Amino acid sequence: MKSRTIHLPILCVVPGMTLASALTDRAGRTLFAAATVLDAVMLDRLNKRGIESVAVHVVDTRDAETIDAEVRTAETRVRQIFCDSGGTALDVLQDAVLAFRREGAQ
Amino acid sequence: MSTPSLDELLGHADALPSLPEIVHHVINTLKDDDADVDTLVHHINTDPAIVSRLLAGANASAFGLTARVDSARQAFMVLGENRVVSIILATALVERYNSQTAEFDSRALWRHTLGVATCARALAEHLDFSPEMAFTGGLLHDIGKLLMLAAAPADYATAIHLHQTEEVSLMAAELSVFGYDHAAAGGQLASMWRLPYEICEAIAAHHKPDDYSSELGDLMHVANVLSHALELGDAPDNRVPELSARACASLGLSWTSFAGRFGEIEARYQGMRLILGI
Repeated sequence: MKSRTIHLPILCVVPGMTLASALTDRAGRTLFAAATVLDAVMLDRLNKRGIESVAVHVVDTRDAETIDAEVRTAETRVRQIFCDSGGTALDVLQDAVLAFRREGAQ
Repeated sequence: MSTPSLDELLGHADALPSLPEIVHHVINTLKDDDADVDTLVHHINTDPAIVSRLLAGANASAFGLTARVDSARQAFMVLGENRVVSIILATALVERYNSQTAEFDSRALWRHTLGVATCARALAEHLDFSPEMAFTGGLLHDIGKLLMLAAAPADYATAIHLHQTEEVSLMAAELSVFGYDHAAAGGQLASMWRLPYEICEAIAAHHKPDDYSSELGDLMHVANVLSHALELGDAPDNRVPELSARACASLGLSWTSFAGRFGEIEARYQGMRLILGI
């Protein structure tokens, strides 16, 4: 089954979800490896460590056409909100946001 | 009555309720290595709105393993100190400054400032600044708007109208009506409230960082732009403001490297919004 990666606030994560990437603390120490299936004990630990969000895999039921449409909508919106501005620094940020939105929509 | 000068506006600062005592206490705690949780819990317990938000946040985050959380002290254990501090500061400010007029919705302002605060905290973690100081500065960066609204409501309504009908930025509209903007007013107000100098300067510098020499001001400026770029705040007429190349360079910020945290920033922001109910 196809899946996609999304970031969720920790209070929206439920036992049974799978980590999309390794989870590290502020010091860079690995708390849980990628692909770990989270249970209630693990979620309690993450909360107590002050972890605010995690990246998890969720089932992706969208077809290719829907994904294309979502990517196009995301690209249009980014160009719209950056339309009044210019300058090299902002161009670099716009490119970073565009790449992030494309990846998020796919 | 004529539009107040900046000095006159500050002379009417009592039109705006004073900064909650708990915010002063938390800010002082951030600078005090010897500060203890007991004193902070004592202060929290004097504010039912904060206790209520903390307990709601802690119980929403408990997964049946932690017994029901029914005290501020337990909330510290479940949520961790950093999140508790964020919830305290944000709740205290949102509850105290909740003005609503036909032209101005303070809930929208707080959604934006929470977005800036979340970006500022993430940038601070990435760049090795104090995350808590950055978060606090982010929450307070637009406090000048609330002062202008409270002390000169008719003039501020004119500025908002100008911004909405003439397609000029709110900063430009404020300058046109008042001769100064909310960043200048906010920086002076923060100084009157005896907030730490770096926060006062960051508030004043957040739109024009190149006119100041403030590292936290550079960071606040970038956090503000990033918050608009990620659309934190849900403003339908959102536009990304100008970004200072000097501020980015001065911070040593590489967007290529930092972009990997955009998803995390959005999720942290959504989590705080859920807890705060805004």
